[in-house]
Amino acid sequence: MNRWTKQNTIAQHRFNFLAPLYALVFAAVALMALVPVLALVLGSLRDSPPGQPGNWTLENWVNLASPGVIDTLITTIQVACLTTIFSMILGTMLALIIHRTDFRWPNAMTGLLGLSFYFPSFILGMAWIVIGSPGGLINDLMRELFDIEANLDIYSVSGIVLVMVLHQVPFVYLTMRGPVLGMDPSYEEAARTSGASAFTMLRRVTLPMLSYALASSALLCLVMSLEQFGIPVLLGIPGRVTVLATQIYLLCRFPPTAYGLAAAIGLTLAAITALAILLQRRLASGGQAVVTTGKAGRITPIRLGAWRWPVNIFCGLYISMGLVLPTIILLYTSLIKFFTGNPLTAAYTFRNYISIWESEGTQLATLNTLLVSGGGALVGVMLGAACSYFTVRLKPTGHRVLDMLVMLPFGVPGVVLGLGLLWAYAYLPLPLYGTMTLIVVAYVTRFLPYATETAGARFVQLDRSLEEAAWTAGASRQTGVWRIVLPLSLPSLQSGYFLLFMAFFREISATILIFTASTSVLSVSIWSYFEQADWGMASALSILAMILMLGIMSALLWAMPGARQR
Amino acid sequence: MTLIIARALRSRTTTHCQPLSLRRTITTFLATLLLAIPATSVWAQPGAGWQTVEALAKKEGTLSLYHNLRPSGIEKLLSEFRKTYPGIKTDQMRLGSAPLIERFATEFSAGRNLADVVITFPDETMLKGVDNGGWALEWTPPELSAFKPEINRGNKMFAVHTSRNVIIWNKQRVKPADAPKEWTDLWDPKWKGKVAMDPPWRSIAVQGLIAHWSNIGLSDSAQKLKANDVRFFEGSAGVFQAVLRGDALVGTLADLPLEPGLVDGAPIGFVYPKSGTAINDGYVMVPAKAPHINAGKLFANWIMSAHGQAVLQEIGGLPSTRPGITPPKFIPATSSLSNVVDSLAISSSAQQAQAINTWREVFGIR
Amino acid sequence: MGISVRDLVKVYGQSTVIKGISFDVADGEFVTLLGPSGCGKTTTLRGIAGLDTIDGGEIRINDQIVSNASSGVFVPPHERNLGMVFQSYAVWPHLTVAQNVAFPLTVRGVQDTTEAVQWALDIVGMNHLAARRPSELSGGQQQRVALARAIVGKPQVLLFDEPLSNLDARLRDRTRAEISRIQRELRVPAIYVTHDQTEALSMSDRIIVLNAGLTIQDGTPTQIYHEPVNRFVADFIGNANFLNIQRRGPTWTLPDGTPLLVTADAKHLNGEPVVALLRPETIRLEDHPPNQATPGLNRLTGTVVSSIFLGQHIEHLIRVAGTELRAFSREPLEAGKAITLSFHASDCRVLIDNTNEQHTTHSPTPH
Repeated sequence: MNRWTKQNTIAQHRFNFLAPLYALVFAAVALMALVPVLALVLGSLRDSPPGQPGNWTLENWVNLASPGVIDTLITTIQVACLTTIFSMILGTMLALIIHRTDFRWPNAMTGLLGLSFYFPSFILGMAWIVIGSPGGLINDLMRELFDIEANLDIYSVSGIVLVMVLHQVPFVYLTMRGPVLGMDPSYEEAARTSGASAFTMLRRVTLPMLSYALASSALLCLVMSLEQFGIPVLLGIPGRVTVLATQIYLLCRFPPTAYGLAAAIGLTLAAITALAILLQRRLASGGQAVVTTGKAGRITPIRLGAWRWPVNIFCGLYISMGLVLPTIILLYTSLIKFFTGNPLTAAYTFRNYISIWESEGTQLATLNTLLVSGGGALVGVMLGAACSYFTVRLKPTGHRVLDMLVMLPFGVPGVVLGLGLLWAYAYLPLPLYGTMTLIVVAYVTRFLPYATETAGARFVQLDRSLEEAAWTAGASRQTGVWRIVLPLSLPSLQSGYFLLFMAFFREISATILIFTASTSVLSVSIWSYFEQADWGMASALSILAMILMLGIMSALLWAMPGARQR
Repeated sequence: MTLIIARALRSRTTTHCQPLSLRRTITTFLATLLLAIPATSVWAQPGAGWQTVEALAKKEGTLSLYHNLRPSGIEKLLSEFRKTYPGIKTDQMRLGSAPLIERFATEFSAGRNLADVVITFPDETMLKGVDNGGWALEWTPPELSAFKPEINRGNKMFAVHTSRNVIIWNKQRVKPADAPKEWTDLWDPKWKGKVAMDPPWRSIAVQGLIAHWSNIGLSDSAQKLKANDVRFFEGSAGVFQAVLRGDALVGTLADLPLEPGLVDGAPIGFVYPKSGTAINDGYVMVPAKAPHINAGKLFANWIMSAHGQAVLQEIGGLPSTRPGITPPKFIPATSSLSNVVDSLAISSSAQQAQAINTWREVFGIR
Repeated sequence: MGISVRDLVKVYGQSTVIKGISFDVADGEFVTLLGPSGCGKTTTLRGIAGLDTIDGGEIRINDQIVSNASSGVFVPPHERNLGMVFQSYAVWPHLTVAQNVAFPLTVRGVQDTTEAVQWALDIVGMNHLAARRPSELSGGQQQRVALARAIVGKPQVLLFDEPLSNLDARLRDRTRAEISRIQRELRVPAIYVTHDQTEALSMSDRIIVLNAGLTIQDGTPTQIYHEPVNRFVADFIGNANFLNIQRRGPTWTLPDGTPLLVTADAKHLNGEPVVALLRPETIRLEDHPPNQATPGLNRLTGTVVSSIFLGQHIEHLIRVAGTELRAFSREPLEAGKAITLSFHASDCRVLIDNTNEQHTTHSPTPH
């Protein structure tokens, strides 16, 4: 018989190793979440770069009200709102088309949209510069074929919005797919039997029913748009269109630098995104029950009839613009010596690929990428599963704090997080600066909420009695976790690993400020090539990176059946 | 892939992290120890021969280069170095000259020194840091004797190649009769919206150019170019690509990408205006706190050798500063240009700051 | 030996779910906790299992304290040597039937489990499916696997949490019989939680009726059925008619003054509201009653209101003495027909009307 302290809920008992594990996890998450944020707050009150002597000042916060920053803020909101509106419209249309009508190729379209989701944003931006810049393909072709001066300019707000929409539509589709599929068909059937046409039904029944999901998805889309780094920086700088993320980057990269102001701007941006996320969570927990009954049932698909070909063209157009065309363009630019719009007169060469193959820097970057993605995703999933177990199942004292700490970086844009880490680790005596560990820490911090959500959803679904049966059968809590909870959660752990791996592989914004010579990853290499306008190398490396990504994706999906459900 | 999970968010007071005092002491102690080692090896120099440096470098076994050379050539440069000195691993980081100096400054102030050798176009910050801030090691590379004395800056930095500001145009879209000849052509209204350049707050070379314009009586360049809808691109390479693609039809840039582009057969025309141009020397520097200081010295010396200079010119595209090296194929040697001025010489930091501010105001940046 | 619960109190947040329950389960005894949802029966069971802590009182298993609120003693569930069967079966989908059943042994470090597993599976008749996975089994089969798992480790206590509520009627009957049989063979004290009175009546040695966190009655099935202490228990188990009765002098009468021969207790004269219980199966319907009264027999006349065919009998609703009573017969009766109801005094018990005090096992004596 053991002596136990008297407490109210079962979870607050002290267990043999779960208690120190909880302490460790709590400390790790607290450090990871708080250090960059606190460093940013401190940094925003300094008037000198990190590490250099200076004074405390409120000037950075005062400068937030300067016309330059206000302008940038307005542009950011403009771009974000436009992107969200268009992405939501197109994404929801796609979800409805694929899952609610008798569209002929739902599976193919879903697969292609999935691929588009993984297309890295800055690579998409690069490709579209080739297509839509003043000297780009479209203008060239219009001039040569039709003798029209099209004067299309991708270096503009509309250009940025276009490419951002192309990038985010798959995200909207994926978030709206669940609610569209899970809708109780009886509401729509009631509308149809009352005499409503398909269009009226969509307008007056389906969309209102989806309103919570739409609002929730729109908020997440808004956050994504606010956080976007690659596309606004690539397309915005030549056209002098600056959003907050761009400005942070510029302030840290080019002299005269203003790290303090960048920190203040970063915190402001993070506050906006955090607000949007809080709103979204309130919404998500509020309105679910009404629509999804779990009895998905058989839905009568809407007949497209005369709309069939317009719809097909619409879908085809999206896939070409968002996936096919960019890939072909990049392939083309990777094989020519210097840019020309006419493929027939271009000087072709393989030297970019040869150069990459022989390049030690690229080999190192590839190795680093695989290490960070493979190893980092593992760390992230384990940490996320542990956090989730504590916040969802065990609920020891302080679990709400842990939950909040995990969610904290969710609202912090990648570039801001990188800046925070730069401030923090340039100062702290921990020898993390310049190491791969720092990159892994940055990535895990940024994406930990994803891992916790995936694992957490599973823990919530896992029937308590499965664990309790283990305890009453003689298994201690630890044994119960090891032999019952973990094996049963494996599919969602695999899913989480896949999610993290892919996210880490594509990530650019969190590392752009903290990478060093030996810790550069593929995305940074591509970015660097692009920054030096070395289009051949940038596109060749992009193509190779995407092939690598596809290969790994297939390998992971084959090896981890649980990941396929997503 | 849904992120929408139905959970309400509740907030509470946050925890704060514990200070790691013991750990901090130990790490500081170790860091001091680590920093002491290269310092002592530096003091071992006087009296020791170059062979010692080579031997020590091989023992260090690794070299980290910070530079702003063309990325597609850097691997070749490093592999040539490794052929000459096998056994030394190399890695490199390339950034534009301004961000590069920025990065170095940050690392230096934070005491996180990772660079073993730096090649870049210096700006005011770098000059201050090298001359007075303790950034650079003071030493004499053996190869120094082969150069003219002008390239030596206080035995701390050595000029290894020179970039010159030049005007370029797209030969396919611009008829030879219309081609620009002088700086003033850049604000000719017939090129409205089709002029490309690197902005001065991002390019040291352009800062020098603007100072030169002031000196030859071309004032209000910012306003004139704004009136002509000038477009800014990233770095000289960006400007080059923009003109090549046709995003712009004429442009001005530091001529780093010019030679390699012409070697490839790019349809680009160029002119170094007779009224003169500002030039920028690219310097090599070994940081005083370099973690592998002997490897750094070895590399710096090698890049100044005939072999190194030939390779540098080939992959860097800029004429070498070492006498006796065959000049580039397409672009003229600096000596054959008229009215050449050194950017660093013609403007003080105050003037530069003022010019940048003016440009910033005119273009509404910040 | 056995299980002993003393003054058990459990609080969830603001509400006290269990307000002080005490009972014993002797070695080999089968006790059912019966009551409506929310009465605290499952909470009590979980307290005995150690899945929840208790806020007051003490629980002992085989004379060892396993939970004591005041001293803070708490033995975790995996050290209580239990066998528990859950409502959802809780059979682990990633293990085979044999692995599921072997689990209690493997976690205790037993190396060779084949014999014990075989024994347990034999008892529930599932040996031929030992290598299957739970997803390939029906609900009833899964429940039997859960049962085998509960007994394989020779537990000192068996606990059942509404194990049959997810099964269909036919299967429920069969499994009920099996559980009884196994428990009797193993002679282990068992606590069974249910809201189904058929299970409670047929399987238990004793039934404890709970409501709103308190014990209402603790007795054998016969006592609970024939001698309920109050209206709640009478209504909860079996079919019940209630007659409003008053005391007129020395006799009990119906509201319209008709005297009624009843079985009552001294305490029913205390002035508390009372009611008379009359179970439908004790009423005889007579077309032509004899003219003389029979001693100890009540005869009332009434009119048939409606009839429902229920297969094994016909249930009639009869208007009599200002109220409607239910009675059974084999023959149909027309609506509106006059009919005589006769029942013994001993079948007409006076009860306290709708109170929820605690009562012990003894029942009112005939008066």
